[in-house]
Amino acid sequence: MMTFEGFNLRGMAMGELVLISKWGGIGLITVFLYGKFRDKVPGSAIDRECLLEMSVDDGDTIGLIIEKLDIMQKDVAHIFLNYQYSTVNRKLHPGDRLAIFPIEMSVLYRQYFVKHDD
Amino acid sequence: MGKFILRLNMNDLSVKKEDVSENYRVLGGRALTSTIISTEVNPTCHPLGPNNKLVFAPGIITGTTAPSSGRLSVGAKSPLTGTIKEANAGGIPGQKMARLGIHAIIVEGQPKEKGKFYILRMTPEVIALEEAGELTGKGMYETNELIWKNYGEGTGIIGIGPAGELLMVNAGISCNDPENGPGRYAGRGGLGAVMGSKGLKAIIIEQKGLGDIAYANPELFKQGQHKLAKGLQEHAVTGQALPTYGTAVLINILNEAGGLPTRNFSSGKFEGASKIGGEVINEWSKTRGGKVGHACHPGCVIKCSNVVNHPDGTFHVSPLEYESAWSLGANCGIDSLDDIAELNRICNDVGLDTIEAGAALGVAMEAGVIPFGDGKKAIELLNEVGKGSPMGRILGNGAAFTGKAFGVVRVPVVKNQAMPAYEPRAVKGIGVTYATSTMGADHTAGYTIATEILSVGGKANPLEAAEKGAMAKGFQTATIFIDATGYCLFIAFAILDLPDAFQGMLDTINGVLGLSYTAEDFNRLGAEWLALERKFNEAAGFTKQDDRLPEFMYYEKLPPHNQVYDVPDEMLDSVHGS
Repeated sequence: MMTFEGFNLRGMAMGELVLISKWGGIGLITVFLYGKFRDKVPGSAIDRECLLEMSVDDGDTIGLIIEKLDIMQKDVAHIFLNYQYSTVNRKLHPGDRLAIFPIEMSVLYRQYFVKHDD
Repeated sequence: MGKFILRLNMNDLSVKKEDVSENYRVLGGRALTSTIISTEVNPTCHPLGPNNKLVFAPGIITGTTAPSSGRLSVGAKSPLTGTIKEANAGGIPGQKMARLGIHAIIVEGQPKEKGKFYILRMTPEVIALEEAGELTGKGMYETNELIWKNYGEGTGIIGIGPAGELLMVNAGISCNDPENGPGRYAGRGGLGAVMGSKGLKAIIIEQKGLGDIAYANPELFKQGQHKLAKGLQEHAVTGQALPTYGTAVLINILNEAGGLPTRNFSSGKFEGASKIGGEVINEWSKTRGGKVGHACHPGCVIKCSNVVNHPDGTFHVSPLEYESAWSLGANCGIDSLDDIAELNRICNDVGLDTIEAGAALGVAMEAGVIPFGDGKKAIELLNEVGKGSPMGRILGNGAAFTGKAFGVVRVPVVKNQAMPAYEPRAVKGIGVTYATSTMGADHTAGYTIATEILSVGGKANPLEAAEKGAMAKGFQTATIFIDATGYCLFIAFAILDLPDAFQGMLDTINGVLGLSYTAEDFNRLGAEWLALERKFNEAAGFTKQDDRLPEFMYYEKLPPHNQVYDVPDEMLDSVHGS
């Protein structure tokens, strides 16, 4: 299990979602991690969805979440917010689904997608 | 040693060497197969009749030491789509053909004795047609094993399995990899059935070493080779992602984009995606043995191929690509990667294109023949193809045929060819390529651009549509150029981003041909060759009304984006209309 300062989160590694704690923020988003970012969730399995629930405040951006997860932006290949290819600048809202792929998984025909930016 | 064209006449079983004209000398790969088909084949002929021709052509730089350059193109009129067709494959035979000086092989006519099969054997000393004998009826694994036993290890093999012999229009043409696996396919469009209709079971090439390739400017070639290799190694996609995870890395990515076609194109999201992607294949390579970073031919620096093992560590299949993991997995609702690997192995053995096979299974599941998600029943069903049973013949003739047999409306095809693993309602730009490609629904026919970039949502401004259509066409012309060179299409990731790598590619071509092609020629020649293919299709009876996606995509909303396909017809028409 893990904690990041200022964030409450719960992680699902082995198929069961466990609520760790809840404080602050206006609500929760779900973050799906891939590739080496799966290591952020201890006990995660390669063949299961690796997800965290994190609280967000008004105006929090994807970039802030990435920072709080201790991920360098240069190590990020693709971000999808609610299935839309996205920049780090977009603001988050409770209930959002955020997926982050590392640079080692950068196979994507970039021209296929518009990068959404708030 | 000069280059020559080999003409194989199956009417009288003769083999003839022909000189290469200057017009043909500068062509290779898809440019050469499509030029020969356009020149020599009546567009209205029956694809499985005596008047169709089957052409094999290595690319312009295939056989050289340029990186990732071993592609072999195969062309004919397609029995699946009725259009002109080119499919290309890696593996070892393309390089060996080129190193024997073979510019192209043209197969024409049909043997008098029906059901009799032959092999074409080529060595530096001998070119001869022999009876296929015990190879007839054999699957590709056994065929390859017998050929290496009889003709020596390292022999290049181009062959068809039972699906091709039985003239099923989803039959592909296998090329062997360095370990003699049959998994490198010129898969699409039923070219295996054309080869079967010619009574040709296999072409075998006994050639060792680098052969005798002529370089007009060896120094320029070397410079280009160095620049391109450097770019391929530096770029994150070709240098890191593809060798680490293979193409199946796209399973989780397209799933997060809501564009992974699931259960016969009824959703863009598959709940079992995490179980069937490149990350699992990578993990298995450590826990079960097998391999990632496998090269499908000597000299490939990208190495996107893989070897997937059984749980007990014994060999199961190679490669397991994104398109196959998707078509035989998510598209059928199957989340067992072991079952998917077995379905892929059957395709490789029987001689089927995996995309079309998975699409046909998905349509059969939609009809209730077997339930979605039942991998074991899917394996039983797919095994019917090799037996030639009525059910096997239905599936072996592709998704559109299966849809007709079972009265299914949701059939994801364009010009009868099944769509690959990008849902056009979620990735709308790819729909433009599917609709307007000269080959039917084909993701390799052109990189594409998001329709939001194309600005074509809603009603299109005709002037703007024409401009954007030209952009979409640009991607198709770039692709056809790469398909002519013999380079793997994946070099596009690097050459589109790195100017030095692009120049390196041009330098290698100019170094071989003694020409001075520039980026402008890249587009000009691509456009000329594309126009040639388009003209063939028009003469075969195709109109702009055929450049459409299947109707259900225009009225069924696809979750999770809940979008229909709304790119206007004017936009699709403008791609080739200018």
